[in-house]
Amino acid sequence: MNALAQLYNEHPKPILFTSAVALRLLLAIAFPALPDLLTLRAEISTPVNSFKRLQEGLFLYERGLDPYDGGIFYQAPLLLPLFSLLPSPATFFGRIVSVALYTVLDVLSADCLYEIAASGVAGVSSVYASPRRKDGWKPVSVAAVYLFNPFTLLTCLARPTTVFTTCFILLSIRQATQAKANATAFALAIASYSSLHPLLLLPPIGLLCYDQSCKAPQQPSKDGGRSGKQATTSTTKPTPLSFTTIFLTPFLLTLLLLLTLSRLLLPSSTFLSTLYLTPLSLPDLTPNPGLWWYFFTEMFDAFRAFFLGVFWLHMLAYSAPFTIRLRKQPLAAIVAMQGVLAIFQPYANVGDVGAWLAATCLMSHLFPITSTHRYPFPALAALLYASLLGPAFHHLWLYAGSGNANFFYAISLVWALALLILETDFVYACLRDEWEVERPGVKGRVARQV
Amino acid sequence: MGLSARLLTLRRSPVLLKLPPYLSAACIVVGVVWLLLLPLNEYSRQTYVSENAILPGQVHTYFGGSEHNVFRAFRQEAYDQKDASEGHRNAVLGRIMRESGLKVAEQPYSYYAAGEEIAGTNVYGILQGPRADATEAMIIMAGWKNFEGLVNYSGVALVLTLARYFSRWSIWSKDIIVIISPESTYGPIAWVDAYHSTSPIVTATQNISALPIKSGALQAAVAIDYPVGPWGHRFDKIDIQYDGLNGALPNLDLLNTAVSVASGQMNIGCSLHGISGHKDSYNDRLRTIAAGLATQSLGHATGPHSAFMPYHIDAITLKTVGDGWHDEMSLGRVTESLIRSVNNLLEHLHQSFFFYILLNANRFVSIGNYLPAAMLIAGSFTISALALWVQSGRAPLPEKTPAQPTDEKASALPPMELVKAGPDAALVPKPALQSVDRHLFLPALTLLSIHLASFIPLYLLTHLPRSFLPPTLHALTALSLLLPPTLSHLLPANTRDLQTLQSLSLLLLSATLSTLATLNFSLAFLAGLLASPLAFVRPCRSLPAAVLSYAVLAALSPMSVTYGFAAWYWGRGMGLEGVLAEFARGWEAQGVWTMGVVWCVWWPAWVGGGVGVWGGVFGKRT
Repeated sequence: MNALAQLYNEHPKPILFTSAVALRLLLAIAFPALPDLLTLRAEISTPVNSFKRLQEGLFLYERGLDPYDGGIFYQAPLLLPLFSLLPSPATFFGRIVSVALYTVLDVLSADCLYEIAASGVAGVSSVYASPRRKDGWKPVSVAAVYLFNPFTLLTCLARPTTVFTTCFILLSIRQATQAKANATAFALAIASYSSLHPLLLLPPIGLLCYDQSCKAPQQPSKDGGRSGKQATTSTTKPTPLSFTTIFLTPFLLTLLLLLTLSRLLLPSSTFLSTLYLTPLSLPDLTPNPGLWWYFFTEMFDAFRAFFLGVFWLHMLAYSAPFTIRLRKQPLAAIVAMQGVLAIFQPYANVGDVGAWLAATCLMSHLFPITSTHRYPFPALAALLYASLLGPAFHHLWLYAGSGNANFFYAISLVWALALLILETDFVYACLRDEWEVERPGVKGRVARQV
Repeated sequence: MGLSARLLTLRRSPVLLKLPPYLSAACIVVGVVWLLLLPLNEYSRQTYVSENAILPGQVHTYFGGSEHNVFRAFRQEAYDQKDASEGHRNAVLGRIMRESGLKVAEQPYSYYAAGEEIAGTNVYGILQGPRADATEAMIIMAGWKNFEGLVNYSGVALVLTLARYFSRWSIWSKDIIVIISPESTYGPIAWVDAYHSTSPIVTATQNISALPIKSGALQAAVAIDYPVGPWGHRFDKIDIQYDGLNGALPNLDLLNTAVSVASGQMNIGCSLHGISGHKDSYNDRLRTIAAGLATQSLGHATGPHSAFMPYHIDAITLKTVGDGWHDEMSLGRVTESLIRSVNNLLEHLHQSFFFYILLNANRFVSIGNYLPAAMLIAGSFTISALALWVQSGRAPLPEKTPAQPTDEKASALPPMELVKAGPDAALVPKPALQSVDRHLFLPALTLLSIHLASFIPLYLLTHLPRSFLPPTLHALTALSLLLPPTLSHLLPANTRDLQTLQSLSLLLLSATLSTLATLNFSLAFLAGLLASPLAFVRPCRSLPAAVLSYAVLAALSPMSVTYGFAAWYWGRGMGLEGVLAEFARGWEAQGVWTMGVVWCVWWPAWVGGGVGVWGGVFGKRT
């Protein structure tokens, strides 16, 4: 036991990643029916990320037909050549290969989280240093929360394509912590290309990248002297405007490149409308754990466009305010925005929630605030209830036939409520941390929000 | 926000911290009292037929006259097969069906559970409805042996007579399927499983052949249980059996139709769960509830109809009980009228309730009125979990020392700490800064291991041969009783960590039970009630208190309840071995979850509670 603990303390990362890979592959090998069963779960696979629909698109693509003609496939075209290289997942070998691919993605994401946590941007930005920054978790714990989180684990086995998006978002954040504007923009462009909503992460991730590029020159060499320091600051610190240009140009160029590549692969450009209008206009109302589908099944057609606008505007409305209000802690702004996307996106799935919950652990130095002043335990308990009751009600509605759609939607409301409580607790903790720096006397007091 | 701030201040109040055990107790008491109130008129309703298309008892029934002679002939034919082999019997039954114009096929099946083989061959026929397009079908069936193991001569003969009689009508808008299975539990299960699969089902524990001929979507099934030979027997009442596998129930409309046809049209009384002298008093209603609760929570098949519920096919068994003046023709006419009503359906039964508790044949409680009972009991565990969580995060209170009179001022103020931030500085009371870190890793890992370990007893008790089952249970009991003290002794954890473990385990139990309550109310209610001591046990500092708490836990443990149940069942001549083998067969062949709930939900929670109890004695001090 002690020898194991020592071994773990000496090489945490390799051991963690190896055990995560082993667990995923073992589950796929020991329970061969499990991946396909999970692929069919409405909680994990939505119309825009389902692995089964990807197979349908792949079938059409491999026969030289337009994969978007069938009205089933809504996913990014560049996934098709990638997956056509893999053996068919209908066979045992092909299934293991596809699970292995997603395992690699999960490990890459976990590695990104590790690096982000290790970079220390959570507690320190160019304009702010949290007094609690030393209380954060070890980077390896954050990676462990991602890898062993049941939501991520199940998602890995179910293989929805949003895992690619998550991986590229985390990669983009990781590049931002190193102030690499081009790489950040590149990764984020891939994420936005594959699903639309990561576009909303552009402001906070841009801010983080900008913040890091401001911070980078502030560790001058001793011999530089006063004038030298001033010179470096003035030459390397970009102005917000110039940074925006530096950041947006590669972003747009990458996006353009990806879209051109996609057009070259496919016989027509219908993919553009299918890929980007699907989340915008919600043509497929297959149930998912999000808040949209039930609302729009009940909607009269005359109001549809209006409410689509309202729902999207609502999601849109968080991006800039979070970036402005949490400008001192750009990573917090990103995580908060990720949470909003995980809860409010049109085709919500538990994989995004798992990734977001792991990302909140990046700001783990703020957790003592939440547990003292807010309700994380009841919220997590409600999350547990909802994740058990959700499949039960789905079963009662669609298989047993003794329930109805209201059962499942009611529980997805509880699910969203629990997530929202976690989200508000998170934002509260970020703001309170800043507030306590401004006014040290309030530390530990009960605050009344008005 | 004012409310949440007030809640936060409440969180610190000492009164609130003492409250949870009382609150949990109140939840459990209210839950039980709630159930006891259900038989009252105020909380239950008269049943009513909700589906307009079904029109129960609106048709004249013509089954009678010369059909009686046909029935007697078929009954004699059936009786002649009493010593024949199954193959010969099936050939005779198949010939009779074929002569009536049905398409006939046979389906062999075998299950292997508890070291024994259960094998047989179903024989069934399809009567193609003259107005049907083979998209829908209804079923009449009888087991050659009924659920009690008696040979069902009259039931089989009645089904065959009805098939011959129905084949001469032109009104059928659905196909009619006639099934004669060799016995009343596994035959129907094999048949309905095969009906809904495209290839033969062959696994290590079952080998079910595919059905050579099929019809459309099954709408409803009626089974007849009338185990009387050629000498005949006039019955008093029809007992309607309705419990499906895993406590699923048929749509209440089917039951209502059967009751209204039998009592309204044919003047035959109906009973439930074999309670014959139902006087509609409070006690009789409560007895009916209790009987329903028992069969539903056990989840095992109660007759040939049970197999159909998992596939969302509404099914009931009509069983004749008592001595009276109704004969087989009345039963035939009830069935005819019932089938005519189902034939009227335009869509699958969906109007009425799927979740109900029956008080008598025409009074019920709907889900909204009874579900809170199970939810309250499940909720009591959440309350305890929250309380334990708060306790585990609290620093141990310092020993109170009498304040010295000299420094009264100093002791009145809490110790302060200087907090500096840039140019500002402030004095902050020290206790506010103290927070105790919970160690989550070890408790969570232990809990996960306990849950994974729980598959071992489940596997052993469902896969071992019959004769090994009782010794296995004894061994499991001994090991389970030793496990909690050993765990809390061996784990490098202090009392608070073990408290965290107990809290998480209670939370999981509570969430699982409330999920279960939506699927099988009775099982969740009874499991919650039996597990209720877990909500009250706390780490005990002294050894005698720990032993006492643990004795209470052990008295209401999964093992002791299994023994208790077996002892209660011994009266029926099964013995411990028989009861355990029946459980194993239920899990393996019928797909009943009860064993899973007992061993993989309750048992881990019980171990978690036990670890919590011993945590006070064995937990490492910080």
